[in-house]
Amino acid sequence: MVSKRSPPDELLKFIPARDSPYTLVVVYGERSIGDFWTFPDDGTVERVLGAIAKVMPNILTLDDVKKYLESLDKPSERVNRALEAYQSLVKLREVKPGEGLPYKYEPPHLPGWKDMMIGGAIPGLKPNQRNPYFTGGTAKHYRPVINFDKCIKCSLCWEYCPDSVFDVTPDGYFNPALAYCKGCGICAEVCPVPDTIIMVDEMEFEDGYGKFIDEYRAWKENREAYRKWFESLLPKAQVISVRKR
Amino acid sequence: MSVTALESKRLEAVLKGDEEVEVVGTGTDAVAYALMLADIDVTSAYPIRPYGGVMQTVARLIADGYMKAEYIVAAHEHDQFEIVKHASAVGARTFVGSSGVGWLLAIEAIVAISTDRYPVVALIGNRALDDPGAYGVEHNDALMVRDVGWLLVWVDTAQEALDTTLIAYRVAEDPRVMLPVGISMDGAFLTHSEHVFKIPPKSKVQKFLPPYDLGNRKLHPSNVISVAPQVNEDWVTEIRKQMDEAMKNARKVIEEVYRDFAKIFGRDYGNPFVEPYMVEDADVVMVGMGTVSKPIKEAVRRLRAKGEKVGFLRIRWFRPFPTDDIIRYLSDVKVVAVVDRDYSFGSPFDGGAVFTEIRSALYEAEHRPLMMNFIGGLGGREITYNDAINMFNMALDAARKGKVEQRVIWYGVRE
Ligand code: SF4
Ligand code: SF4
Repeated sequence: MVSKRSPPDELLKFIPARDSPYTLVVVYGERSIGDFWTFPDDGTVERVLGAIAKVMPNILTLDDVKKYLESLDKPSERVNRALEAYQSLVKLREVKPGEGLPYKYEPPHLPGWKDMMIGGAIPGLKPNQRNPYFTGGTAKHYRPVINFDKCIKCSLCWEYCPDSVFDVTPDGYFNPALAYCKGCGICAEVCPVPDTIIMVDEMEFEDGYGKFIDEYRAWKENREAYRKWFESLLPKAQVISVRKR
Repeated sequence: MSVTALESKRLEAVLKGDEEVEVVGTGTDAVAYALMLADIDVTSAYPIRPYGGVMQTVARLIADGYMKAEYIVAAHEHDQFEIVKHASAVGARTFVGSSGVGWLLAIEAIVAISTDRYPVVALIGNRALDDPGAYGVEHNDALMVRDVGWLLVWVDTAQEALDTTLIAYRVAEDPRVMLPVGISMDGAFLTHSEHVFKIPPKSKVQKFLPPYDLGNRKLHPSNVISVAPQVNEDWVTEIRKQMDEAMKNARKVIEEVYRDFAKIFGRDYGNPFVEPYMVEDADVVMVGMGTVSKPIKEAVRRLRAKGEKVGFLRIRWFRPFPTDDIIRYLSDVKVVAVVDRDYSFGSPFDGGAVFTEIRSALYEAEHRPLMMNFIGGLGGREITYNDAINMFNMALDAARKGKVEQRVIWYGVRE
């Protein structure tokens, strides 16, 4: 069950394929981490309860949901959110085995006790090293797209990125290794040149999981095509270097 | 009170010369002199008796220029142990200590010190746990950490306290061990009583004790590592297993270190783990830890003079536990009588902690002796020579009858 504004078929491009069939339920709405302790309550919990009542009444009936929500504060507001989801916001999609993003999960290799530093100490990364187990996959919300035509090679993105995502190219540009990017947007915040790093919704891209595009290479291979592509993304950007949206 | 003229002359001699000097001092004084010789870098203090004497002497030695170390007065015991943990992590040789409930107040930091593998050395001036309040000795304070990776050793003279402090640093800092050591000293009986002991020259200590080297675990800007992470179930088993191995390694390392100690200082403790006293051919052997050795040894001498085959085994190292030596010295005697200055309520035979461990160690032995347990000397109550004679007589009686009538005896409890 996903809270999202995209149709199920769109979402399936990002969901790793599975061996067994399942039902994908989309509760139409903003993606949300509502009810997470640091975020404002945006009604996600109520919408999800309404959606469960719709698709799995054997687990939870609409009456059960109402009864529970009426026992809380702001009962009518809560019940309305659940009803809204129940009546109009739920989309179902039966997913067949193998449908989705071809992706094989490789569990990380965990060392034996003789191969670990004692006392739970963890060797730090050397400068420019990245932890191969710390890839973000498509889990990030936004990704940085770099306009190499405007980059002045100031190195701030490289310096500030908390995950050492940027590789230095032989001609002095900074190329993001997108698999490691967590989408924090710091690079776009610190880049001093207008419209040079933009943060674009990850859902705009169909690459991912081990086959992320290499922005620098794409730019090197065909600057004109890259420029057009960049310009097509610019209006969709959430954070843009120097000016914020 | 500053260092006296006489003491000053003696300290100059051990710091600059090659000869040992004889002094009179308390058990905690002896530890303080060892800290001076071991050149500790950081110590953190919080007052509690009976351990507190060591901090007074250390403060004096620093103030009068005989010792260079950061002396940090902590806000409370938890703070105290956290301070040395962090100092140890950046490569400082550290000393800390406490007593009774003070030691327990620090328990979170105490456990972190061993699980983070910092070779801190601590003095536990053994004291009864509150409540009820009592200043006197009981061993339950130190025994509280017997399962969490602290090496635990009990000393019974000021000389042994000094020597064991030096030995403790060498064992703790050995790369095969890297675990903290808790030195237990009976409150009042040893912390506060005066003994004659010898302070070895620093030149010899330097030969014995190499500088503290954390290797690739030293926290330093040029050695980027993370320590004390949140790891959860993917890593905890492996980290504990490493500690298990280190504790087992410690048995071998302790043996090596005592051998080296004897070579360099000329004082040979024989078996490092236990001190056997007239146990050859004994029918009855009493076992204990710490200063209870004094009245018991006296009783052994007098009973031997009367032809009774009795002996005494003093346990020095309780962690790692000297299982092989326990089997070697105790499995062939008729009756083993353990004196516990501690309690372990609800333990398998409702006896003390030492009794229970020895019983368990002997399970694998080919011959198993009869076993008795005296819980005694609690809260600092004295165990006298006469008490020791009484205990031996009960044990000898059991040996004659070939059977123990009362397994655990609360010795001297008022009915
Ligand atoms: S978004 Fe954050 S993680 Fe990703 S490249 Fe920029 S700074 Fe690095
Ligand atoms: S911060 Fe912007 S201008 Fe500076 S190197 Fe990175 S992309 Fe180029």
